[in-house]
Amino acid sequence: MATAAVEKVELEHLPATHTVLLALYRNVVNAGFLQEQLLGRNADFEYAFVDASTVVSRFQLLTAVHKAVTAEMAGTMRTPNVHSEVVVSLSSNNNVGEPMQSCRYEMHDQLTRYTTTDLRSLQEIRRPARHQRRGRRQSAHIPRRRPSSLSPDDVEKHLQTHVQGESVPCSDEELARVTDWPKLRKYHKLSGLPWIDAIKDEQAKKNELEMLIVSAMAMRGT
Amino acid sequence: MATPEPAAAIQPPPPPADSTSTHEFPLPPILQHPSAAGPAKLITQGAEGRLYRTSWLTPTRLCALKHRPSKPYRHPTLDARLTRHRILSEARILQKCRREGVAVPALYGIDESQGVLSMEWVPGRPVRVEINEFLRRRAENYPHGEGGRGREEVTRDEEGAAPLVGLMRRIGEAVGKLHKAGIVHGDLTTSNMMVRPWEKDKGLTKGHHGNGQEYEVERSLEGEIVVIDFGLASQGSADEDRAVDLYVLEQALFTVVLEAYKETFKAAPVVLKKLEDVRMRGRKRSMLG
Amino acid sequence: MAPLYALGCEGSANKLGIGVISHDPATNKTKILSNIRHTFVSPPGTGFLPKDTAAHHRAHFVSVAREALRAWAPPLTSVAVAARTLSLLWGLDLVGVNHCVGHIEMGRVITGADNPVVLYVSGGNTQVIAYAEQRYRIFGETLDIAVGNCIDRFARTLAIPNDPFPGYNVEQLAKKAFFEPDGATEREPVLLDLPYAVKGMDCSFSGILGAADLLAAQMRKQDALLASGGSLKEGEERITPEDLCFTLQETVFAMLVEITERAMAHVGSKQVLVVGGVGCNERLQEMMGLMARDRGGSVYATDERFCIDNGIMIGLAGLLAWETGFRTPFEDSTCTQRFRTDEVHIKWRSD
Repeated sequence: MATAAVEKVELEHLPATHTVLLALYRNVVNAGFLQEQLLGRNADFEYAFVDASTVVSRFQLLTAVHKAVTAEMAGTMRTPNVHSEVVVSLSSNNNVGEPMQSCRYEMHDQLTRYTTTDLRSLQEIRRPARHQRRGRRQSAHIPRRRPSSLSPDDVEKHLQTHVQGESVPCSDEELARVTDWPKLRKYHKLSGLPWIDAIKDEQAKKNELEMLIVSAMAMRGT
Repeated sequence: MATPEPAAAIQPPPPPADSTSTHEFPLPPILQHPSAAGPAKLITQGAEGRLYRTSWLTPTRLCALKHRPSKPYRHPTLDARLTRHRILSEARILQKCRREGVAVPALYGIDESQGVLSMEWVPGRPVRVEINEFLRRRAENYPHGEGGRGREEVTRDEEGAAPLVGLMRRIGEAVGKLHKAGIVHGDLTTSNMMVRPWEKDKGLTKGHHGNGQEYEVERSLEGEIVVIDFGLASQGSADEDRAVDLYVLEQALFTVVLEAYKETFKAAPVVLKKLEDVRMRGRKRSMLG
Repeated sequence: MAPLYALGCEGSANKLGIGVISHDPATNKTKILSNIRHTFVSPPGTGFLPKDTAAHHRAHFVSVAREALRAWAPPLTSVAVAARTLSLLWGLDLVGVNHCVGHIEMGRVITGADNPVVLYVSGGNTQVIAYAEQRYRIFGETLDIAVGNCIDRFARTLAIPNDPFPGYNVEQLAKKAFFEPDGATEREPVLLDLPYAVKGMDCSFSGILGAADLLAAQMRKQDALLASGGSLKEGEERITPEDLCFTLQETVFAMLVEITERAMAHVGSKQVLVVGGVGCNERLQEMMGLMARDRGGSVYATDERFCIDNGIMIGLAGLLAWETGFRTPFEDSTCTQRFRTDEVHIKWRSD
């Protein structure tokens, strides 16, 4: 297992109180257990678990995180917490009628897919200190016992204990290896675009698709 | 010009109070947070809003951030409604263009309540700047001398004009694609079209952004036309609106011609005044009758 | 060939008759447009003496002619006839003037704004104008009715007085929206839902008028319902004439300020001059001032003596043109409703 399994990322134009921690795991065998922690609202598992095969790049992933964190700061989250907000930001579903249920459904859906693929990604956002959060509306549903000053080391230790899988760097290269393009294009309704299929250069084609997915993510929920 | 003396009864109203505005632009909230790439740079300040160049997610990915600040003269309810509507409309149009393969900036993020739209930063320069520079370069290479209008020079001029013709064709294609996608731009000037250098080394037909960093290229009008600023754009297929797009473009392109004309020819102002007369005479749109 | 018009004057006996008749050579149709007569009735037992009859005709000629023209000619034509008459009477030069140019020049002289973006707003016009190369160029305008027309017609919908002018009374009602019916307790005016119709530097008002009329109709239904002891549906906002006027002003003025700001950004000007009858509105002036301040500039507005149509503005524009050698030959001294501002060669400016 790699030594630095959890990567700390500081995003532009977010207050220093917000830190993003990223980790990518392959061959996760206890997805069922992780799912149970989420559904049981185990406050020790404040993570946004994402099916890595639906992720195009770090850019897309971090755009979703950025969107979730800005929604949290503005008090406009559509789901109970910033982690579920990340998951919803990445999903192609715009229906968040009942935030908690929708979120559960999403999580469930994601985790079900874990069992069919042998690649997993895991991502965590450390929450800011409580007094620095403003305009939070829905997070009261979620008990928060965990201190917010966890270091990447603490998180890594916690993940190593509970995630049974192989840790790899959360890089564009690693992500590209597991991206399931046919599934993604279907998922994000990106079929039937002949001009994209006509692009010969694979990288250029992926760039176009990535931008379309990110644009759609930005639009969602507005 | 002699102004008549007002009669005693006529007293001008008091002059407007001196503007004491310090002319500060409040940054949108997102730009008030720290950024490793340094402070955002104000690029343009239009009536619609302000365009900043800043970073997105990481310090190296550039982003064009458009802020429509709230207007103090507008009723707050109306102001919020309009800002939201316009940000969303612009975002939808950008997304629609991308889906249809029209080269426009990709959408990164929207905050309609704050009136903020974050987009891909398009490297390169506006068509206006590119053409002006091209014409200036040509004027230097082929100075207009007496008796220098030989056959050889004409041929050389025609050859030299090829990049410009190519650029014009690409502009036409870009606008054609835009209209085909059901979008009317609403302000199709040469400042609202960028020439994005091709990524030659990758042999791409579409100039792409990669990580969005600026890179140095040889300036020769080469590049993909990227239409920007959809602040006045609308979805629609009215031929009248499309025709207005073309009219604005026609005027804008001719303005570039005239600018270079003025720089080259001292007596230009006299001719341009005369041109005005010719235009008035020849124009069809008289509202008389 | 266009129809021919003739003004006939008759006074050979005791009848003074003036009328306007037209003949269309194309269709050979003749049409009577007006036929006014005034008869000198001599006292019983007397015939009409030439001296008394002449006095009668002299005394009544102007009023009969005026009535003959009023019955037929539009106001503008009547004034043109009068102007021509004065020109002939006193042997003065005629100078044809564009109405809007008159407003602009008057505004410039009165306010001292040297090169402003001009918002010209009246019952017949809505234009954003800026000067360039000896023309007042129209940057934006209404695509249908004028803003003043929109306000006046809405005043008619609400049946509020036309004295001194409808827009004034709409403005006063809008001010009352800040108070409860008692006129003392302050309240927050309600901004009702009206469309907002700006397209680039152009705008349109007929849709807004239609929507405002619908709201007024809804208000009358509410009045009737409440008068008969009924009550409004839950959550239904009680519409008042005050809120309606407030909303109409806030909406159409925001549109005007927006297109003016766009023109200012376009030409890089910091001055804005508001002319035309609607320009008297204090709320419009206030909003324009807030916009101009934001751009580091200022708004120039005149009071009702100058922003409402007046004679000296025509005089001033005529004077400026006359000084550059401009004359209007008598035979060309026609008038038209469709004289575009940008058709005038502003020879007296060289900036």
